[in-house]
This record gives sequence, C-alpha cells and structure tokens, in this order.
Amino acid sequence: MTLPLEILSEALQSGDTSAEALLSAMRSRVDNIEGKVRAFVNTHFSEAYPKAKHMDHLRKKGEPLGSLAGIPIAIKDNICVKGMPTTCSSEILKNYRPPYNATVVEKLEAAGAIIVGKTNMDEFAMGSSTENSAFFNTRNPWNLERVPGGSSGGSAAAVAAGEAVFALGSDTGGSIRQPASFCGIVGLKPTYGRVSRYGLVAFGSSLDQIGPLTRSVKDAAIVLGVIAGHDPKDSTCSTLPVPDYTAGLNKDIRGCKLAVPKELYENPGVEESVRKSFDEALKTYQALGASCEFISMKSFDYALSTYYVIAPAEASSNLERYDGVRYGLRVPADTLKAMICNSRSKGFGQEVKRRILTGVFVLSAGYYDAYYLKAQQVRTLITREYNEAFKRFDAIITPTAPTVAFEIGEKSSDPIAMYLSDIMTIPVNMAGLPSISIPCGFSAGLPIGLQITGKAFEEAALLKIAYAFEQATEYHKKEPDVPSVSASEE
Amino acid sequence: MVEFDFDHLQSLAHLKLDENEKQKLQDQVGRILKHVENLSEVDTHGIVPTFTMESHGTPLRPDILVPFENLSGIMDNAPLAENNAFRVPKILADK
Repeated sequence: MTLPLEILSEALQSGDTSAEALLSAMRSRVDNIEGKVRAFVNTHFSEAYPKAKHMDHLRKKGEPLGSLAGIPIAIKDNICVKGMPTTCSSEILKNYRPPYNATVVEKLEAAGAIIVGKTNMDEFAMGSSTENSAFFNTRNPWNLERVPGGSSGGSAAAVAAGEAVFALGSDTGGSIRQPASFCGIVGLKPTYGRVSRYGLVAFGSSLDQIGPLTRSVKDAAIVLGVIAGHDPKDSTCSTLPVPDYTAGLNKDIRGCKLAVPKELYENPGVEESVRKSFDEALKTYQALGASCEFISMKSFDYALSTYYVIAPAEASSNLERYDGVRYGLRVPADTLKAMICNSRSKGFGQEVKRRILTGVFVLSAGYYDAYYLKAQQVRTLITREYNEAFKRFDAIITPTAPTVAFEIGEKSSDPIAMYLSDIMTIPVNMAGLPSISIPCGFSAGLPIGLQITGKAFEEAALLKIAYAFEQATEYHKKEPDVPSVSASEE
Repeated sequence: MVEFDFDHLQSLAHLKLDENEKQKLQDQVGRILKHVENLSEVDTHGIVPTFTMESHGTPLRPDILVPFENLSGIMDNAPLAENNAFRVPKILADK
C-alpha cells in the first residue's frame, strides 16, 4: 500500500486494478494500523466508495478521466471540504462543517482524486509535533513512541504508513517539510502565491502555503501541477502560467550550483547523525556533477525571532474571528463580550492562547515599532540575502530539521525548545520561496530529511534537483513496519 | 526583560484565563519575548519593512457580485440562529 501515485495511476489506467479495489485496500490498511498511528481526525470511506465506483464506470466506458482518477487521498484538517468536519484539531471548531470547498479540493476532485479522510494536526497549525491537537497525538509510523512532526503530522504519518497515496498539508514555518522529514517522505512547500489558499483556515497570512506530502518527487510534481494556478478567490494567488512540472525531472544536474548556509549547518542544535547524512548528501550531489559551496547568510541567525513576532501577530488578528457568534464553540454568557471571552478561553488550547497573547503584545501601542516593525524589516534583510545568493546559486540546501523525530512529550513543556525544531525551515517562509524535503538518510531507524530551496516560482528547477538525488539514492524506497492493531494486541 | 501588563493583553486577546493558566502563560510569553529581543541587534536603519508578499502585484478581477448560494450551509453552523440571523446575548452590559 505504499506504492507511489505514478505507479498506481498506471495500474488504474491499464486495468490492473480498479478504483474500488484500491479504496478497499486502503480501507483495510487504515483498519489495520490507524488505531496505532492515529493520523486521521475523521475518515469518509462510505462517501468515497460511490465515487470510486463511478470512476471505474467512467473508465470502463472509455470516458476521459483526470490525472488523479481513483486515487485515495487525505486532506489536512485546516483545509475546507464541503460537508466534512474541518476542525483544525481545535475544540473551538470541533463541530464545524464548511459550506464550501477549498479551491485545492475543487481541483483535486476535478482531477478524480477521492478524499478518504481529514488528518490530525497541531491546533490551528501551531506546533511542530502534532501534540497540540486538542483531540489526540498522532504517532510516527517509524517509531510509535515518537512524534510525526508538525503541524501537518497527520498528513505525513498517513502517507508514510500507506493510509493515503498522498496528502495535502499547509506550511507556515515548516509544517509540510518538517513532518515529511520526520516521516521519511517528500514534502513540498510551493512559492507563496503559487497555490490558492481559498478555503485554508488562515494562521499567518503572509506565510501560509498549501502543498503536497507524497511518496516520491515525481508524485509531488504531479500533485503540484493539479493544485497550482491562479484563483480569483485568492488575491495573493499569482497569474503566472503553470508549467508541466514532470517534464524536466529527468534532466541532469551537471553544473548545478548549490549553496549551504553556514549559519544553519553549524547550528549547535544539529545532531551529529543529521550532519553526517547531510554531508553524504553533499557528496552525492558532487558525484552527480553539482557543486556545493558554504556561504554565510547572517540574517538567518534572526529568522526564528522574526518568525515568532510576525506569525503570532498575524495569528492574533486571524483568530479574532472565533467569537462563538456565527460558527464554532459558544459558551453562553449574559453579555456578548463575556460570551466571546468564555468561548475563546474554553475553545483554544495553550499553544494557540500563547501565540495570540504574544501577537497582541507585539502589535500593541508602544511595542509595535520595537517588535513588529523591526521584525518586518529583518524579514526584508532575509529576503535580500536569498536574492543575493540566488544570483550565484541555483538552490540552497540544508538539513530539513536539526534532529530526527523526537519522543512524544520530550519538548511539549518547553515552547522555545519546540520552536527550535523549525530553525531550518522558517527562513524560507520569510521570503515566500519554494522548498522541498526529501529523504536523505536514517539514524537509529528514524528518517532524516534534506531541504532544498529554490527561486520563487521556479518549482520545476527545484523538483529536478530533488529528483536527481532521489534517483541516485535508495532512502525513499524504505518503508516503516507498522504493527497492525490486531497483531500487536494478540 | 520586557515588562508587560498581562491583564491588558488578556483583554486585547478576548481571553479570560484562570490563575494557573495565567501564571503559566505569562511566564512563557515573557520567555518568548526575551528570546526575540536579539532582533534589536540588527541594524535596520533605512530598511523598508516587508508588509506584503505579492511579488508580481495583486491580480485584479472584475467587480462583479457573485452570490453565495449555500445559505443553509452557513446557518447550520450557527450556535444560535433565528430567521436566518445569528442570535447573540445583549451587547451592552447592565449599568
């Protein structure tokens, strides 16, 4: 059940399998292991079967079908699917059912994909371990005592464990790439503006981006081709044409220039095993004909601080809409103001409250210039350093995360320690660039990810560099051995 | 270490925390603000802040009203509704 999309699509087209058979296989996989992994907030197989049968019927009749026809997929639970609960793993949205589809959902369904479930996440995408879900922890399929990363931890775990062929996630500071790294799969954050965010529950509006979590680089290219493109419903969404992202994957990368920022490589938080795998990755790239050069990007030392001013500021504004008036949890009170305060206090978890409070502080009178304005200026410096680097280099590579997946509970009581796990991914969101995490090694049975960051709107070039590495290595072929619920309880 | 009026922050955030939660979050927000203090080391004199990410400008569309048809889908989510309107408690507190 962990075959990539490209192979399953071929099998469906050739008649070797049917959408219904694929869905049944997926369902039995979910029945067998979901009790251990807990990737899904809710599943929707009963709605999926008629769609799969319909797809098989159309295929039999020889009707033209979309590129994802009959493929079972999962959607992070902060992306609206009409009629399915969209909870953001929060008590405040526990019973919310959106009256419309996100544009990405419309596009995936138009291409024939079948949604089997909504995946667990850190509440409102705030977190790096999925432990901030108000409902339950998701476990890493490679080691059930470890976190899957976050905030798109449910999506990453579902794909790694074979509970979905691919999944969508969202990435505000690394929330696609870091869980992809922890779960040994591919995670792509497209350029800011490449994919519509209409129907994505907003967290940090100048940072958020939807992207795919997949089993291969080619799968990521296929899915990006489906979800990218302008959307009149999202004014931040670019009108640039969408190329065929799979077309140039095979081109060789001789002469390609890669840069490694010393500020990230030499960070004391980087585990030895991660650095070792990364060094090996550099050698692989050199063997493929690319050059790797260490450079200095001094502003990166301030990226984490910049993020933890800007993201909470935007979150405090975006989450003001949860007032118990139109949707979501309402805790009754005598006055409107008391009702709003009570509803928010009961409905939000600790991390969300922490970020809202930090956000209102940095935006408040007397502190705005020293914190928010300052952070936005440092953000400009980060973008400038990227722009300078891209005059000389084709891509910037680093480990995706400083460590492998950590133990459940290890960092949950220390917010700063948790925030540091995003140190490699955060600078990318500051500049709105496309970035991908691909498997590049293992340490004690846990996957390690390689992060490659490219120029804005040049995902095709980025995917080519990632594909070359993937084809030259075997890491992406390994699969976790997840004990089934019945076997382990016998 | 920056000093801040936590009760004022709570009020701005529309939150009402119990004493335990208040103490914990006050301490954690304080630590986060201390962590981000290193931003003051950066020379940003004359640097234009990044307030918007649209690198290619904001695409425009015709200003045409498109009605949203699924009214019941909206009202089904209402915690308390009456005649397709949201019901709320009184807005002004008693004197």
